[in-house]
This record gives sequence, C-alpha cells and structure tokens, in this order.
Amino acid sequence: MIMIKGLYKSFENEGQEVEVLKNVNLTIEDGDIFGIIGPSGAGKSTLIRCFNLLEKPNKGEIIVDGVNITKLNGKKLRDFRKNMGMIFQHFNLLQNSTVYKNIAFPLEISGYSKDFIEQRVLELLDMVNLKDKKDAYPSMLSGGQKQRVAIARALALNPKYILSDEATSALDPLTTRSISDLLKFFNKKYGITIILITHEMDVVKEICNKVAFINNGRIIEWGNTYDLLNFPKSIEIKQFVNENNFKIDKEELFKNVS
Amino acid sequence: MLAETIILIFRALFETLYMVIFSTLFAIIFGFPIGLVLVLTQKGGLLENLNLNNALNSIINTARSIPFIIMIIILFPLSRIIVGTSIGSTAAIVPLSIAASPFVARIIETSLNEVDKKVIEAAVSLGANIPQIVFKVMVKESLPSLISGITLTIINILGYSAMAGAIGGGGLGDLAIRYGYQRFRTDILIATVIILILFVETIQRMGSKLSRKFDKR
Ligand SMILES: Nc1ncnc2c1ncn2[C@@H]1O[C@H](COP(=O)(O)OP(=O)(O)OP(=O)(O)O)[C@@H](O)[C@H]1O
Ligand SMILES: [Mg+2]
Repeated sequence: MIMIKGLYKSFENEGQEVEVLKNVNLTIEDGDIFGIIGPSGAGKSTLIRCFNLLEKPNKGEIIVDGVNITKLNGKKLRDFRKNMGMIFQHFNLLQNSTVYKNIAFPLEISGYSKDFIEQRVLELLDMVNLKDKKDAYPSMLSGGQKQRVAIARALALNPKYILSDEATSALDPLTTRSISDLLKFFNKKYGITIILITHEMDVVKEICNKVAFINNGRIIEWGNTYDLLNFPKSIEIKQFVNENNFKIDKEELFKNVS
Repeated sequence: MLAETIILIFRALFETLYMVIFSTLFAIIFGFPIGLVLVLTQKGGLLENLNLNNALNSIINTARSIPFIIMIIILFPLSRIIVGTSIGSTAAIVPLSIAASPFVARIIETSLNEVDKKVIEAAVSLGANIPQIVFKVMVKESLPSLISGITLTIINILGYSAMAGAIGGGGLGDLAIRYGYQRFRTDILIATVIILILFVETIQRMGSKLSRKFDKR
C-alpha cells in the first residue's frame, strides 16, 4: 500500500519558486491499477516521479508498505527502487544493447548469476511474447515491441509496483490496447500494483479500477473509476470528461475491470 | 646506403609508434576520469557540484590554451623526475601524455554527454548505482562516439609527437627535420611524409570501422 500525505513539490525556475504539487493526498491499495489523469502541465509526471524519488518532494510523506521513502538514500533507496519498476513514453532502452541485454540489465546490476539471469530473461521474453527478438537491437523493433521490452525490464526484479508515465502515448490505438492488456495481465496474474498516467480514456476505462484527477498541482478528486467519471463532484472533471469523451457505461466497466 | 636509410626510417617509425601508443594510453588514463567528473558534476549531473565543475573547466581551458611546443618545454624537466631523463622517446611520453589529457577529457565529456538523459534515468529507476550507470550505461551507449574521439586523439598525438621529436624525442618528425630538412635528404623527407599519411589513413579507417561496428542506434 502506498499512502501519500501532504505532498508538496516546487521547482526553481529562473530564481522563481513554482509550486507544481500542492498538498497531494492519495492512497493506493495493493492490487490497484491506479490511473492519474489531468490536463498537460498539471503535475502528473512530477507526482509519479516522486513515487520512486526521481523527484525529491519538498514536504510531505510517501509511505510505501509502512516506510516513509522520502527519507531514504544510498543503498536503501536503490533497493527500494528495485521493488518499483518504471516504464516511459519513449521506452528509454539501451540503444547499444540487445533486447536480451536490456532485460538482463536490472538483474546484472543486482548481482545475480549468469545462469539465473539467462533463465529469468527467457521467462520474461516468453511473457511479453518476444522470444524471437532476443538478439535484436531496439532500433530494429516497433514501438509496441520496444515497450514490451521495457515492461520485461521493469518486471525483471519481480517488483511489487509498476509506475507508467504515458507508456502508450507514442503508440497507435491497436498497440496501445495490446500494451494495456499486458499491464492488466500482470496485474491480475501476479498482483502487481500499477500506477499509470495516461491521456487516453480507453486505457482508463479498460484497466484502471481507480483514478485521480489532478489539475494545477492539486488532486481535485480521486476514487473508483466508474463513479469519478460518471458522477464527478467538481465542474473541472465534468469538463475534462466531456472534452475527452471519458464517460463509460457500467457494462463496459464490468466487462473490463472486474 | 639504402640499407642504412631503411634502418634509420624503421627506427624512427618504431620510436613514433612507441611514443604514440604509450602517450595515448596515459592520456586516456588521465583524461577519462577528468572527463567523467566533468559530466557527473555538471548542472543536472548525477553528482552535481558546480564549484568542482567550474574549477576543472578553468584548469582544462588554461592547459589547452598553452601552445603545445611551449607545454613540452615546460614539462620536459618533469620527464627527468619521472623517467630519469629528458631526452629520447620515453622522455617525450611524459609531456605528450600530459598535454593531450585535457583534450581527451573534453572528448570524453562530449561523448558521455551524448547519452540520452532518459536512458540514464531509466537505469536510476532500476536501482543502478553510479559506477554501474557509468560503465554499463554511459560508456556502453557512447562507445561509438568514444572510439571516434580516441581515433582523433591518436592522430593528434601523432602530430604532437613530431614536435616532441624535434626537441629531442626522436621519431619520424625528428628524422624529417634532421635529415630531410637540415641535410637536404629529400628521399627521407618524402618517405616520412608517406609513412605519416599511411599511418593517419590506417588509424582513421580502423577507428571509423570500429565505431560503426559498435553503433546499433
Ligand atoms: N525539472 C523541472 N524544472 C522546472 N519546472 C518543471 C520541471 N519539471 C516540471 N516542471 C513544471 O512543472 C509543471 C508540471 O509538469 P509535469 O511534467 O509534472 O506535468 P504533466 O502533468 O506530466 O504534463 P504532460 O501531460 O504535458 O506530461 C509544468 O509547469 C512544468 O513546466
Ligand atoms: Mg508528463
């Protein structure tokens, strides 16, 4: 479980302090697929980057399984990060390493034996359906294949959590669907808790059981996906939902989320 | 006569190779850590430290603004301390290595900075520590560029070594000046020039080929 309490983050921009996150409070339960939505510049990426301390918050607590991780550093922080994989919009793979080597990277830096690494990488390649691309370089892969390599890499150390910052934004609708299905599969099969940012309402509708709407650095509302999208309390979400055609009907929700 | 000339040229070639190989090696040994520290301590770097970064930059810029021939003269006494003599190819390696180090530091800095920041961030998110990020991500990702940079370094050091040769270091530059220029031995002059051209050509070709081989982008 992740509890965020009174989180603040500001950046220094040309000598001026800009507050990007303002008193964020959230709880993410184990097994959730937790969506974060909101307009561009709202602070979504900054928030998700606080979860694994790529950004250090100015104030507030992030309590992951009972530990306030904002205080971690050095080896403790690195070990914590190994329990929280991350995937990105532009995949961020090692360009000069093969698919195999990319997925082996987190295992190699954690000091596993060659045999164990080989066994685990092959297992992962099988899960993301890329066995035949083992020796290919990222430049030879399609966007969807690259993202699957990135997912395998993020899962290599068996993390409890996955962070996803617009992992499907660079992909076409069909590929988006296959990637979001894959995330849902890992959530269901291995109970991995997923926190994801997306601009695509299909992704929210199809896989998120909870969603938070963030605007201007504040969480406007968060909760059950169906309720939040269909019966939002705030006018901002109503507008956003209408603009993005975010509404869902209950049947669709039951079909996909439960 | 011809045999003598050939021996002369081969000895000079050997001295040049000796100077270039070892000077390049030491220049990389000194220059790599400096270039790496420049990258790590820069703004937004993994070990950001602007005071150290500024100080290093100033030192490098100062060193690079001294003409090489002056640098050699300044550094030759150091050779006496380090290798016990200030004459000959071995003595020339000391100023050559030191003079080329700031150049190498810049080459390394530029290459490592070409690595996509997002790829480094992905490694951080996977729990990599700094040595792992440096060697398994930064060096590996920038290998083609590092190889091109080292190729350039070798060619530069070859040029420097001719100057070092002229003031007591031996080698092809020394041969060209003492025989070709001062004793009007045009044949030796032409031979050295041809050897130097072939040398540069070979190094450049090998460097480019190797660089392409490691480039999978
Ligand atoms: N390193 C930084 N330095 C200064 N300002 C920053 C930095 N990172 C983000 N910001 C600012 O913080 C605000 C929120 O940025 P963030 O990237 O979190 O938004 P976002 O919701 O992810 O937007 P998008 O949907 O466009 O990705 C923006 O105004 C941005 O300019
Ligand atoms: Mg963003």
